[in-house]
Amino acid sequence: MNRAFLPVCVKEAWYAVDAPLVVEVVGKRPWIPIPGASSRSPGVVAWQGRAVALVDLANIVDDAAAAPLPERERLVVVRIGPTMLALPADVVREVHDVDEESLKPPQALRLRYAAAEAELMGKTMPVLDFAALVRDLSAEHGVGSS
Amino acid sequence: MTSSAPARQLVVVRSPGFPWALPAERVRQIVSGGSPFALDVREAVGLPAMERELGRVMVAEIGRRQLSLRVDSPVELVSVPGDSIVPLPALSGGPKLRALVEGLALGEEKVPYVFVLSPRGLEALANEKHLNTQDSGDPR
Repeated sequence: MNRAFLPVCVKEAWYAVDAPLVVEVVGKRPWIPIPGASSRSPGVVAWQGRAVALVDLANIVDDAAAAPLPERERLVVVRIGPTMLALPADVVREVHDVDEESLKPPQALRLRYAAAEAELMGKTMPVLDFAALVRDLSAEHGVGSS
Repeated sequence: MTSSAPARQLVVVRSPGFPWALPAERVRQIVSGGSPFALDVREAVGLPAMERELGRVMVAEIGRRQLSLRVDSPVELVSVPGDSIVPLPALSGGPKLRALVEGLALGEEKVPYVFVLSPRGLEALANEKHLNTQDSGDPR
């Protein structure tokens, strides 16, 4: 059985995002910093009349990377259950189908929230576990998912 | 484009870098004089407090309680279309901030955004800082 992934590049690192989670890919958008927010989710962006939590993948998978978030060329909007997240990205490529059997447990890339590894475009990319990410962010904010 | 949502009145404090607001119906009065028990909203959301002290306190009604908030900047009463108040996702605003209003005109100046405080979040912050709140006697 095949799974569809959207390859997303942030700070020269590639990630495989489950394509069915992706609602829209839009261009660069200004974002609003939230005072006191963590570097993992530093602000919100306006999208279709609502405010969507901005999540910086570079800071999510690697605490050492924590740095102010620059505006990136693309914004990938994903939906995980009732929660919407906006992921700034430098490059987004077309969706690739991958045989689910070919997915490997995370070995080469030991990153936080890597549920598996996929070979896409000749690169090994972590398949991100957004459900775990939303759980952690919710716990961090002391609230249920939004 | 016209707005169908009823207008809401907000009391906006133009604190630099963090303009914040409360729904006007929550604001009981703004009084002169500082109070050591007043909650500094900037500090409460993790920002440095303002050095300038205007010596005013906003008394807000939170449920049956009254909470004093330190006012560090000019205050304005504005009316905004209800649908311009955009709720913040819980993952971003947390319990402290409830919503934001974009592109608010304050006099001749256009402020990019104003954060609307969550009354429940304010109460939680006051409890965290062990600030006394007074019973207003109003059962609302």
